[in-house]
Amino acid sequence: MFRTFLRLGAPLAWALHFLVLYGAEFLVCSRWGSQAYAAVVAGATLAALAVLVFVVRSTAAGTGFVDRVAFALGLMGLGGVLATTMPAFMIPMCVGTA
Amino acid sequence: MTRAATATGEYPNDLPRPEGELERLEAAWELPKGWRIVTAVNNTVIGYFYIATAFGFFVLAGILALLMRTQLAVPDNTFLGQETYNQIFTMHGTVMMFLFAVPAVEAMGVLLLPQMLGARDLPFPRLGAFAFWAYLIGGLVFFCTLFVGLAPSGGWFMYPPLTSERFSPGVGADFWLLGIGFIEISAIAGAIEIIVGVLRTRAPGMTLDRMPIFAWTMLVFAGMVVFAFPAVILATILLELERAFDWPFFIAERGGDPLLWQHLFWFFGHPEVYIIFLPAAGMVSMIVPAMAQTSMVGHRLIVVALIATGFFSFGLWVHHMFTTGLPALSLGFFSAASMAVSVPSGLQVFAWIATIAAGRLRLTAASLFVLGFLFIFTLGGLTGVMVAMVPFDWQAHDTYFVVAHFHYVLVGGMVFPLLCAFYYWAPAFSRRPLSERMGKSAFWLIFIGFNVAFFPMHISGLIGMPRRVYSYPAGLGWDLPNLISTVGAFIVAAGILVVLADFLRNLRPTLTKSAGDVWKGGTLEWLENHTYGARSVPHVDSREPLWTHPRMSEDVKKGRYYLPGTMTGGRETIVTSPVEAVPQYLMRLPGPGWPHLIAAVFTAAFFLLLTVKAVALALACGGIVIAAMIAWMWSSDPASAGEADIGAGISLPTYVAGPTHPSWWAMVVVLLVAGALYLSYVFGYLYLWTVSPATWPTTPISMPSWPVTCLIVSGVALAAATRLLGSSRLLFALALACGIGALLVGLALDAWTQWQSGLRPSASGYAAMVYANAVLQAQIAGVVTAMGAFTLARLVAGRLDADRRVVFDNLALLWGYAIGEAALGLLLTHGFPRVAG
Ligand code: HEM
Ligand SMILES: [Cu+2]
Repeated sequence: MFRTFLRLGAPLAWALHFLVLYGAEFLVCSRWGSQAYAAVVAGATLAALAVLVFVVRSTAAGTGFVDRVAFALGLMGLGGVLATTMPAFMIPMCVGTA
Repeated sequence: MTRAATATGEYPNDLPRPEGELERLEAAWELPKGWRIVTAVNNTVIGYFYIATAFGFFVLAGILALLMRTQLAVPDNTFLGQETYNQIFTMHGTVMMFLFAVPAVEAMGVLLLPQMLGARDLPFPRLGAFAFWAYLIGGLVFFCTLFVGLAPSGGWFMYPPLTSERFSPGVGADFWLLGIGFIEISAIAGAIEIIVGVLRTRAPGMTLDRMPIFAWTMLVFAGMVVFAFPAVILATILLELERAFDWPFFIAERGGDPLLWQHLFWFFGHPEVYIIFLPAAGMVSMIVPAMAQTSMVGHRLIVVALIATGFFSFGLWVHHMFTTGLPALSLGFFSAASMAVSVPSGLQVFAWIATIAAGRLRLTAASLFVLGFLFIFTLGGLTGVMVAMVPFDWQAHDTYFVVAHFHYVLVGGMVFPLLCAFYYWAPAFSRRPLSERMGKSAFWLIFIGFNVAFFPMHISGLIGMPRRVYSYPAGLGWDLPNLISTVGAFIVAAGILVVLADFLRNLRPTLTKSAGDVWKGGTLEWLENHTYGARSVPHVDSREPLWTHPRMSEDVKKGRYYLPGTMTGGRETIVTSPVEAVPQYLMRLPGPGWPHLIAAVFTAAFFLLLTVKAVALALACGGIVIAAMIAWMWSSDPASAGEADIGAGISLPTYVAGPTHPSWWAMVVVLLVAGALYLSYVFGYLYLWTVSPATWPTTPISMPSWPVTCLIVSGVALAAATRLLGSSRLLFALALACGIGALLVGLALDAWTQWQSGLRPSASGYAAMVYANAVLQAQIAGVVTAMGAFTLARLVAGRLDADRRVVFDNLALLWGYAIGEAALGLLLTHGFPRVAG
């Protein structure tokens, strides 16, 4: 179970992070404002990065096919999470939410 | 576990093979004669039918495209009327996407995968055949609605409110919803087959690392189908409920929201593009190395890129909704993700170019199509990055620029690779290869014609021509580009005609005497193939076994490898472990039969009759379907036939249960589908709350204590039944019946309480969502009940006991899931209003 999670952990972390950032803008902004949303973004991003760094570190030494693939997916996941977070630095938060 | 075959010169089986072995194998796999061939289930026959059907739909939808281009050739044309044009572009898009593109790649998987993986067949042949027939019949009827003017006309993505009862009263939209919904179910059935096939029926020794890239792409493809299709199935269910019973999911004035449809549709629709493209890319990754006679550069990196693309593509759907007024930052997320996804796709493009550079590309017809694919697809990718930029998209949205963009991606990324695949793989399945000369002329016609037709659309789009218009006035500068586009479309058609002529002249599908390995390919589909695949199943120790072992073809044919005959007298295939491909089980496979065919015909009839509201007839068909399915399933799960020796001293069981059995895996995939469907629903529920929280109740109804009790009882009964199967038949039956009964009662009680509280589904989006939960729960519970009854019947007939228990294992999985989904439903519909209220 844990090993399976490790193998698919990177893409899953990316997917959850994406979902939280996008979904929270609707759910958090209208009720608690943009500061709360910024906190959600920061928290989710740190959590996702933690998972990804863990996956990358624990598969870096592996030589088997599955480990190599998991490792590379970890790197891609890092890129993906950073790409997702980037707009949060460039575009004002909670603009245009109801 | 195995003696290292070939490396030491030792083989799993000795020669000469016993007399009559080959004859018995051939007899077990004999095809039905004459027109009874329709009852065949083996992957080659179904694969041929499947591909031919998909290509037929391509031609049909292509003819529709020509009609449209004829209409648009000159301004103010009156060749087609407005409503007809609307129906035609809707049908063109829908048929191309749902009846051509997805089935075509799935068909290639059905045909190629077993040969490529060294299996005798896919693990569930009758399921595959069922999926094909359902698709053929459903698709044909759907297409024919065009001839009677009843076709849908709301565009291939069917946005409400245009497609609501109010603005599209006829049955056209219903045909789309039920017809396409049903064909998606058939696609999911195929995906289940492919996932289990790829993971569990590879030749011994074919570890994941040695698995051909095409198999990887089909695995990712099928995984994406499992998660993407449920979203649109849910959307079609909701819209059909709205149209038929006035449940206002998408009606804004009653607390629904048309944007919910867009979210659900594109959560499926964007991955769909990759669902189509990835397998096509997988074909290219098989063909390039063969044509260049060198291994694929960056094999592992491609695998990573495939998996990453599969995931990333689920984070793009909102880029189809940039103009709907979403918050600025949301648009930013999707814009960034849309650009990020081009990284793994770009990786693949570079890997192909590197492979071409590393070897010496033979300029065959197939190679030309690869080059054409690279050129056109890359251009489509570039315009894709352009429209991923929000301000640009605001300008280009719904113009011909977008039409140009997605045809570059779809035709470049899927039609070219498919034609390439036909030219490449024809010799493996036909007595004669296709003609290189005709292939090359077809390529040039299609390549030039395509660019002539679609390049000008970028321009007509940028100067303002909207898509989906049946006519336009002269003098806007649109005349010339449109005329050129039309000429191009007819050049493409000429190219397709050349391909068809080539098929007629040279394609002689065969199951025994194919032209063979004319390109010197390295993978197993180039072994000499029969209905049963290769004579014996090779031991694989590299990515290109035929290059590593030049004598492999000969040795396989002589029967020196595993399973050179039939061990049980019937059809069988070796089941291996998912990662290392260690043999685990000899699975017996069913032969030809009628029940799955009858089930397919009447399932199609059921849905189509529902569309025209012939409810009584539809129910009668539903009854026939159930009877046919029981007949079909009854002969499955045969009792153990002892151990079977497949060679190299490996003795495999002929009966296993639990996670070793492929049907356990299939069931898990079914649960993933069901879970994805339900999560889409949860998303819809929460989404409607964010747009109109005012319709949510302020005083929640009473706590659902009785339903919860029922679910607990059901869970206890499930645990008890699992224990009792070995000990007491009577108590087992009792636990089963009571447990499923409790599940049904619990769900019914909950729905009843909602009804008692005065809530009516047509009152608001909220109310409709509450009852939609009941509908979804009833669906699963209905299946659990049917399987429960079937399990009891098996018990009574002596076909179920402590050892022979696969039928119950599968039921237990679904039953457990149903309890979980019901609990989640209670939590959502009772808990959420309390938290939010
Ligand atoms: C090469 C031959 C083809 C030609 C000449 C062609 C032409 C057209 C034209 C003229 C339109 C309608 C534009 C409008 O009025 O808005 C269209 C729409 C469309 N086409 Fe094609 N097409 C071709 C192939 C394909 C293929 C292979 C696919 C998919 C695999 C495809 C998918 C679509 C879709 C999804 C639409 C949008 C329909 C809608 O607006 O609802 N087409 N095509
Ligand atoms: Cu998209």
